Amino acid sequence: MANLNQLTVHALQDLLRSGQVSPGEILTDCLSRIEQVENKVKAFITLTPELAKLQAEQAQAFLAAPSAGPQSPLAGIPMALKDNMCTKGVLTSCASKILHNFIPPYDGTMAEKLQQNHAIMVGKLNMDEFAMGSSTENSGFYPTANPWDLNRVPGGSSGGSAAAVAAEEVIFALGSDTGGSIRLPAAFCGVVGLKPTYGRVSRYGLVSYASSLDQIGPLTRDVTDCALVLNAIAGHDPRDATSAPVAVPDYTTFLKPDLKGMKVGIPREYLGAGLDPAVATVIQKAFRQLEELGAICEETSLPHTEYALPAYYLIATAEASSNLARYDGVRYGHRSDTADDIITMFNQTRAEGFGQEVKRRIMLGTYALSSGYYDAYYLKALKVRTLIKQDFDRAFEQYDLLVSPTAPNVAFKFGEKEDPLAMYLTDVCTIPVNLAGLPGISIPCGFAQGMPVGLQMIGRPFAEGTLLQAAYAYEQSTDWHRQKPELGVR
Amino acid sequence: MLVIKGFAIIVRMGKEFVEGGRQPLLRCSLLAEKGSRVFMTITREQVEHVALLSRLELTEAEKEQYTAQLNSILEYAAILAKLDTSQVEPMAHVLSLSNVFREDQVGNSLDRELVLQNAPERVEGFFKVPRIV
Amino acid sequence: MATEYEAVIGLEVHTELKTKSKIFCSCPTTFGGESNTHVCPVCLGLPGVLPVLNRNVVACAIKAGLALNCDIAEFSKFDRKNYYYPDLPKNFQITQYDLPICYGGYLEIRVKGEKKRIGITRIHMEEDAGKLVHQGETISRSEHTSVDYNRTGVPLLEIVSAPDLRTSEEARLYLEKLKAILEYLDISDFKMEEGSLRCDANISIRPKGSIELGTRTEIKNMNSFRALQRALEYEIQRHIKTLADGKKIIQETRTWDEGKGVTLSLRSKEEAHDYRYFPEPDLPPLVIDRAWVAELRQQQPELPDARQARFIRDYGIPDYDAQILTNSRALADYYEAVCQLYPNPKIISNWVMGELLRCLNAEGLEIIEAKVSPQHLADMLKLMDQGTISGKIAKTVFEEMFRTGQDPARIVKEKNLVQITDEAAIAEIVNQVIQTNPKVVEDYKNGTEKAFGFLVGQVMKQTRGKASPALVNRLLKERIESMA
Repeated sequence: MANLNQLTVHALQDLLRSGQVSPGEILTDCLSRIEQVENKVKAFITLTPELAKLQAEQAQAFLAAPSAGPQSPLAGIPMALKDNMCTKGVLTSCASKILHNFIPPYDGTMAEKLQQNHAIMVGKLNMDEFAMGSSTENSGFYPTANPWDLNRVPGGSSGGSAAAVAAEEVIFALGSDTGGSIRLPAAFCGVVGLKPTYGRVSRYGLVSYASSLDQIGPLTRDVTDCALVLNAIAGHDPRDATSAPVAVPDYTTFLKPDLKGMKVGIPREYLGAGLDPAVATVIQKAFRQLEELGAICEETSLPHTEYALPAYYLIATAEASSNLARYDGVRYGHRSDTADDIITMFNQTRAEGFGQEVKRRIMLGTYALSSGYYDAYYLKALKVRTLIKQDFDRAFEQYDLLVSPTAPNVAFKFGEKEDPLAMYLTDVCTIPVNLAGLPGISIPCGFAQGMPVGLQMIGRPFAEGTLLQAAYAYEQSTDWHRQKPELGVR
Repeated sequence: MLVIKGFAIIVRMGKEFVEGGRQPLLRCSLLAEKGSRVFMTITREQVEHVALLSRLELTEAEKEQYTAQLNSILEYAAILAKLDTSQVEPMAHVLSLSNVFREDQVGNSLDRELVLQNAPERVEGFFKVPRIV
Repeated sequence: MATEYEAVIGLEVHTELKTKSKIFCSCPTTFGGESNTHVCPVCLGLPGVLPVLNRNVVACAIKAGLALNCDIAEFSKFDRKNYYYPDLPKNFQITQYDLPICYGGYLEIRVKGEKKRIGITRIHMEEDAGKLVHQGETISRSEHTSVDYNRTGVPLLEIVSAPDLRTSEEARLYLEKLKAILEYLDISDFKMEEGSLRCDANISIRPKGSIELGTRTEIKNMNSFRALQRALEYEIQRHIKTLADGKKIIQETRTWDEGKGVTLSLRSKEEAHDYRYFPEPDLPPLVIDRAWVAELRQQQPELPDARQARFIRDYGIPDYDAQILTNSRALADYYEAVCQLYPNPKIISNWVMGELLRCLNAEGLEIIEAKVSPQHLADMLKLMDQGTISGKIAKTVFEEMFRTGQDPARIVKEKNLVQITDEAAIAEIVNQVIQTNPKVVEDYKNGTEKAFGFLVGQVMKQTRGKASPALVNRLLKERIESMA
């Protein structure tokens, strides 16, 4: 039998329920895997093995109780959270030096929900600082490596989350997605990553990057696990005024290997210039596979796509410039010790605490909101956002689903994209989805240059079920999701 | 809580107002719609001003670097000016939610030790900061 | 001839709302807790937290808007105002920028007997900041500053008047009226001294008759009604003098120095403010339901103007009395409570406006803190009517009631203050006084009216004020006349 850390949530759930394994045993396998590979992958910022052991005991007790039923499939499953999710008593750094010592006195809703489900947290995962980046190279501490090629990036910003799942250090992880930050690393690392509809999952406790775009979602080994984790974290939260009062279905009920009659649109703008030919080949094959499963695939158009990226960078950075103003050295986090007046203290604390990309985005966002430029940049971007949303609305009048590559290329090498703009272009297929607040999933669909390629599916608001159905049908007809990285160098 | 018509609510933004005799903020909306001189380059002085507003102390090298990088990003953003958005409403919220309230009930505050536990410096029950100039 | 100027003044009033919990979290709004004990992750602005709007804050804002004759917005939203200050945990304030909840209203003041309408430009909701405690004399001389976040997130209304005020007195009357209205609505305590009310003024002057506006200054830190009037008066004169000297007024923010009685320029290292307002992404907008507005309008209590009119109509008291009595809801309630127990409203008004307010002011107390109950005051007035005590003794009794809260009958009894109406007893004292003051009696006889008053006073003195004044007058006159 495979080591327990290599299994899926649903496989482990069966073993746990039948009493063949205990949460402690699964945890032991995960912890020894972490010990074995973490020095290569560097997916974690913080490990919490003691806490995890305690939680494993509690999960054991819970599973032994007669009340434990099929409604708690995450009980006893080791997982980890991206380090921008607040966990009471456990360092939450956002991979930033400015929060290198921040211990939240409260749990975010996502942490609470996983605890209520008796999932076991083994640690907090690396990321681009404050989720700003597409490679995890912007971590204020160290980059995470792609388990498929340790010389390449895992994608970002939830690079630690994707890498930890791909490297079999944990069974699942949570990430956050503001402009593709779950889907891109999922694609780069060959795992499943879902960004739910804006408002589907509470953001309470998620350290804000761009409040109107941020969403939390699962990174898992397969689509079934994705549905199970989404079941646990979705739902209205009175502590998040932007969380939607929309009922949560049991997402596993959508997992049917059937796409008959499903109308699928392929936006031609997502296959435009800049798409790596090798990726294009893989993607075309995936489209054909969908057709074979019964889907009716047609090319369509989202005409304002080229405007999405600049609009995104203006909106996201504007919100970020305000969201990140609170890191000033007064209440928590780093404080410069060389200043003897408050303004100098603010200026130096922030100069010392933030990395280059974060500073760049704060500056851009401040500029976009500043007097004289607000209308030309920020307001203009909000109007373009309306146009992007309308593009999708029109497309969904015709199609149940839109599909595209998750990224125009496979994972790149460390240092390959030094120009910020070149890096931003990696997110060209994922960003419009955030602007429109839609659900999007990335699933493994093959390899190019030996690296995983992700297939993105985009759905109507709150149609995660449809996404999961299509993703499941596709996944069950392929075995891309069963491929394992070797943790070597290509 | 009230969900109103459809999924995308478009947040209306009012016109500039004059507040108690305050002058309206200067904003170049006309320029934006005409699209001509809008995406002007950002100068080094502007970068310094933006850094001041952002409370970021920059080195000389950073000022150079950010001036160049922000210019290239803004140049890229200039394609937005191609779009005529004069008839388009801005969208600040993607969800059609409105009137999300909590009831006026007192709940638990944090234990003071937890409030202050992350403070870089504290004095008795207070956060301590350097002098305000 | 010197130019005659008039001032153009607009007031921005910030007042804390009397909600139980803060505007975006469930921490209490109560005053006086130990530092940093009324805070939670939300009002402390910790990473990851989100605001959720207190419904009652919106209700209070709508109530204020209705009472001030405003339109209630159909659509309103919150915005962020970005600036760095250590009392602001997020380094932005959640406020309302271009779509406030209420706009376009007015209130009426009475200037020299004439009604004058003062426009209300807008009312909006926002969160309060924390408190900075400085070690040392002044902010800038302190070595360090201590920060207490208990007040952060306490709901505020900002009420902005139109620049319709022309004198410092009008400004004070406006503020007093505003205070009365908010107090009637029971949404704000409006205590300037505790900081639950803050008032800033925009002021400029122009030659009378001109319609152009002069350069304005903004005045802050006026912490009482008196300070407001003094500061504005000072500033008007400063503007006039500046122009008379051929100088220009600088557009700036100034602070009122109460001790020195001057306004001072706040020339801090002020970078040009750029608050970078933008819509608060964490709070969905408000679509104000008309049924809710109608419901709140129904619940609106009687407001000062209406109550004043009713007092004049129902109690037959003068305009002036009605205005004073209705200035404060509590005072008006008190007055009406006495009116339920005693049949002469004008006499009650005299006592409430006279002795009661005098005693309250002397002690610096609010009407709700008064120990004299309406029942006691009514009982005392009845004792006067019955002749048990004289008007003079009544003042003594009142002071005692005010001090101790005891009922008047008991005070009269215990202090032995019952009016002496025994004619024989008083006659004896009258005889005595006449005998010992022959010169005064002579003066009176020769037509010096004052002399009679002296004799009455002597009798009252000997009876410790308890003699019935009517009786004393009669007996004195009879005796002196019989001497002739």
